[in-house]
Amino acid sequence: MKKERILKEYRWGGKIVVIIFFVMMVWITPTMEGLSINIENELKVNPLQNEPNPFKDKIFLKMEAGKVQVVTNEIVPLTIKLLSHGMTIKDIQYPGLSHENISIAGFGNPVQKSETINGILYEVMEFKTEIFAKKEGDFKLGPARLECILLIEKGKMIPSPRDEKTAVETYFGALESHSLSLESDEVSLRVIPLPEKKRPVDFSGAVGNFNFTLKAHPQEVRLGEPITLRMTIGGKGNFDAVIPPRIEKGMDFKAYDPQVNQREGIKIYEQVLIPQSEAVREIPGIRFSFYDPGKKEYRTLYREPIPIKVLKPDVQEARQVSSASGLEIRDIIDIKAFPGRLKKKGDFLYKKRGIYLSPFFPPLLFGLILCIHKRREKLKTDLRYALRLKAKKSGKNGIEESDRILKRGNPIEFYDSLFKTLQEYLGNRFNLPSKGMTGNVVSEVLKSKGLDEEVLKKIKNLFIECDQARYGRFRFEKTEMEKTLTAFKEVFHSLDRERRW
Amino acid sequence: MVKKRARFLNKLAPFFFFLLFQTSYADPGMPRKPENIFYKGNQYYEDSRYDEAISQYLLLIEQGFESGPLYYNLGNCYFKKGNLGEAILHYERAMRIMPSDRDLKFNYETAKSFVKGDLIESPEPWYMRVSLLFFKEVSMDILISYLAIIYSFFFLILILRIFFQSISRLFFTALLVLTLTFMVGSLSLYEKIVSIGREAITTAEKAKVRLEPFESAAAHFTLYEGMKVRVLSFKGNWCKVAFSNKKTGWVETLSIELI
Repeated sequence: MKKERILKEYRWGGKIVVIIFFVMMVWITPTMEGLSINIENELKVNPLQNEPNPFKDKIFLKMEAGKVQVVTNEIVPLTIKLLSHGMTIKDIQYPGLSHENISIAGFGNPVQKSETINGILYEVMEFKTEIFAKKEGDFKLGPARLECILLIEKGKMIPSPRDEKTAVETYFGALESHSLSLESDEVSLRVIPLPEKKRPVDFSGAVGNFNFTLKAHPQEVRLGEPITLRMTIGGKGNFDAVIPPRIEKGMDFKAYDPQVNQREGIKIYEQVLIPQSEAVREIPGIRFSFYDPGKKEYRTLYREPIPIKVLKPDVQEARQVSSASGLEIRDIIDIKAFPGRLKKKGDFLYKKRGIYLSPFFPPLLFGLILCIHKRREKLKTDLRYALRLKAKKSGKNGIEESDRILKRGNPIEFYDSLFKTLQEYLGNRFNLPSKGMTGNVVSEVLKSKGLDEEVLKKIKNLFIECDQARYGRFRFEKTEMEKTLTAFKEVFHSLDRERRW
Repeated sequence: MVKKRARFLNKLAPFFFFLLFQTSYADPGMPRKPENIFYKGNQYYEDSRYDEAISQYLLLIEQGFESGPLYYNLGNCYFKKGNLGEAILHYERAMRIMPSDRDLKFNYETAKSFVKGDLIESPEPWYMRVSLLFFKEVSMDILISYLAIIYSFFFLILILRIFFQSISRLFFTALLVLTLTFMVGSLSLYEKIVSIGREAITTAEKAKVRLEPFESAAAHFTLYEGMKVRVLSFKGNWCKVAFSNKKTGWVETLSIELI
């Protein structure tokens, strides 16, 4: 995006000077070398396709085949060169070409170098690939085409000298971009058929210069176990046309289709074979035939048979018996030597009664643990609840203790215990400080909480009786102590039933 | 002191002799240990005396014992005699107890390969196929144990969740996995239990399956020795069976035997 505005135009020294104000977009990208600054070049890119290449002596495309006459399936190197002299080129695309009846591999990474032609030093960008023809005949390859961007001095159609200029200077300088489409000449290729003379019987179309190795693993197996046969073909040539030999299914082996693994300059076939009997002693020798275009002859590589050992299967010894019906009986595995766990007939676990009770235990346990956990949580979080429980417990214990003392018949001890129980119980029950609690204090507090008058009265009387027994000269008989305890129990039970506090 | 010891020993002597008598002398009239009957049967088998071997093994069964190896050996004996139906029947019984035994599977498949006629397996519902995929080779008792463990784990995880609130994602995933496994296992167990007393093997060489339970009824299809059928109901000397490809009909009870 560029916005420009002419600010001023004036004449100076016979020349017209124009001052231009503009805004431009700049992309700054961090790279390994530092920062890359790319300025969007809004300059118009003029295509030169419809015009003859005015720089054809300075920039041109050349295509070369390694051979002009080949046999079918023979691999031929093909090179496409972009040659330039004194030009600034950018955005070079990969070349393309028409190749009817000819297979072409993909181009590798281009290589840059220099080449002198007729005394002129050219910069060369070289694209290499390989081709082969599947049928004989005369073919035309190409022309190859390549697109690129050429930088030319503005308005002058003079190519910019190839000296370094900054991107900003280039922008402000007199350069403009032109897209350029280059075309090479066609290349003729004559494909002749493979010779019939001395062609091996097992030849399957492989052309090149190959080597061949054969391996089997393992070489000692039990009957029924697999052996992997690995055939490795390496060298130079047309690997697509390579069909290596394989062991066919027959009497000796059960053979599976081979698995193929192809890399640069190597092709590996792995075939699984299963020997069919213990009498099989070897994997037969294998031949691999190919046509060597360099030597112009067929060649056959032979690999010797691979010895193998087939052992008996790993089962107990089987016996062969003909059946009463006369059918041939296959061997079965021998009997069991030990009886195992002899259990009562039909005695399965699902018939036992206990199995139907057992499902109840886990959920019961879970329920129990959950209840305990919930109760603990409530005791931690619900203070009122916790105090109520504590009060109940202390009240009960206090009543029991007082009862015991009553039976012993010690009034002072009895009223002491009862008083302490009363304090503790009411303190926990209503969240009041138990120490220093008296009848009056309790009455006032409990009245404000809306306690029943009857119960309030009983509590007050209990405090009075306790004080009288502890500090006064009153002597309480057993019947009176029992009445007091009963009154306390009534208070305890009625308060315990209350859920308001 | 020495005299006292001597008198004591004299009193004990008859007791010791009695014990010795019991352990060293095998009174043929006394019942033999089940294992010994089994070994005896094995001995007959080794000597290729299959009828005697069968009688020993059957004696154990009559005494109320059973085990996977016992049925397996019986199956072998019948197979050697050429009695395909009985062989497959006992292999099937052994499968209920030791379904993952490789030797048993091999012999069972070998025997099945001799069964005449087409053994067309009817396609089972998808949930049965899923349950069989996991639990086909697990016996009933072991499957019950697995289910009990899964069930207990389920509640154990619930209990752990009470104390470890932070493991929510793991908790739900574990519960889901356990629930699914339990469901699939229960389905498989149900199928195994239901099949008891409901499956039979054709022991006759050929048995015509008729449309109705009488001799003159039209024959629907033929069962060959060793074929497995599902028993649907009984009526007198006949029983209604379903064959693998969902054909049903009536066959004489004597021609088949329940697994």
